[in-house]
Amino acid sequence: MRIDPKFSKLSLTLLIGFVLWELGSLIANVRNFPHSWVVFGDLTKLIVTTTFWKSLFITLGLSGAGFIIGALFACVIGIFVALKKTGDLATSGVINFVRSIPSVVFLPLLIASIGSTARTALILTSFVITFKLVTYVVRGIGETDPILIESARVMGLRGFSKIIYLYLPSTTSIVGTGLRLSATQAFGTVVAAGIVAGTPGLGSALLLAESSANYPRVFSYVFVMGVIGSLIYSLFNRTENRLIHWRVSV
Amino acid sequence: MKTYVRNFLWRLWVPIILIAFWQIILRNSTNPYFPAPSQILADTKYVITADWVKTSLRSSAITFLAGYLIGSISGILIGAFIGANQILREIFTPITNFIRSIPSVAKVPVIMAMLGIGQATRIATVAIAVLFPMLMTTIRGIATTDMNVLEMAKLLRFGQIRTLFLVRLPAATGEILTGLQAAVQIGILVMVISEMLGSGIGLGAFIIHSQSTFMIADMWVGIFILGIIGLILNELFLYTERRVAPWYFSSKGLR
Repeated sequence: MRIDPKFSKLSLTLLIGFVLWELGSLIANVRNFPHSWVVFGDLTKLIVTTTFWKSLFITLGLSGAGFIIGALFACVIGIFVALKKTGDLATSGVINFVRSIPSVVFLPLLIASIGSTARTALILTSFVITFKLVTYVVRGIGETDPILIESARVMGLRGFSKIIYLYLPSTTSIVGTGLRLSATQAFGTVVAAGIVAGTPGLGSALLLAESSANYPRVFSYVFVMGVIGSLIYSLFNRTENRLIHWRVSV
Repeated sequence: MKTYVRNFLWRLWVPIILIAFWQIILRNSTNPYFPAPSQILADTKYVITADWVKTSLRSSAITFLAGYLIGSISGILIGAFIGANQILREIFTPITNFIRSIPSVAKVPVIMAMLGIGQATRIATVAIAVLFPMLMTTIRGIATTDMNVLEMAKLLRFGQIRTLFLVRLPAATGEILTGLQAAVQIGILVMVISEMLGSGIGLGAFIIHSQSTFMIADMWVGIFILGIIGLILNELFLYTERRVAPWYFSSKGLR
């Protein structure tokens, strides 16, 4: 009987993952780093509760909304900045400065002025995504082929149609990379807001489990987050490769 | 170098206008959370004392630098080892991808539960947060070495290890530098979170503490210092990157 190499690779991956996990619980305290079977046992109990699905949907909803709002802002700001000559150079300092401030330091401010609500997570996520994506939009527009710009000018494209027919197609590959990276970051930011500020969702559920020293539950949530993060990443990767099939993904 | 300085100065006018705007709008602000820049500036000299530099800033610097060095060096070495072998690559990529997909913030409480709260834990959290993105980029950089170059190394009868260190790793410099630069941001983020969550010292703890004691101007000082540190590190990377691997960044059209 021939064994499918794909299958054997997958089983090797799972085996090594299992060994690494068990090594972790061997090195650390078993109470704080439970065995994989304990965690998966807890996971089966977790995924039948309604609170789990509720916090999952809240987190995904907030990530999606923050992602879309941030992307819209980034496009508007990015197009404005990039189309003004030298505007890019002048504003990139500000954008880089804001980008290099770790987003979570704004959480104390947001908690104090708004409270630990879903709105806090939404505002933070939109903010992070705006500043992350704007550089990709600016770079994408800045690297548009000059010949294309010339021909667009010759054909009389201007204003909105110039953005739609010239910049939108020519920036897709760079902005696509930015979108893919931002999507996972949107999810990460919502989780961060939950863990640091206790905004509703998976993050605060993890924090709750941790503060009650329920470590199998903590690991279950971490596992779920890993699955969702991978799913978001591969979803965007696949869509990107299908839409922009003419280039190799960076 | 001259154009660099000129560009740098040219970048300054927008921040100056923004800060002036902020000052004009909020000069008589009664909103406790958004003080005027002049208030923050006046507060800066009370915050930045020798004592503060010795405790908060020093602790943060140690956390970040040690974690970043450990994480990136081990990431590059393990990544090079895994990336050079196709079977290892196919087996380990799903695992590294999965762990990387866990938001780095969620790893912090887990590591704290395992190692407790302390300087070593904070270093470990930063190291782990930096490790996985570095693994990913190194594996990808090593895996995509030009076939012709590899053939050449074979012709020259280079051994496995020599090929790895003399051919594959240098060829992946660009990817590795990009990864190192992205890892700076992740490292600072995780440093701050580990300081915020563990009742510790450092800039993150300083910001949380200032907020909870209603020293809002202090908190803004902390935020600005983090921004400035991040900006300086970023500029340093841009500068070295163009010096170390100019071919990569011009061929990709990056920046």
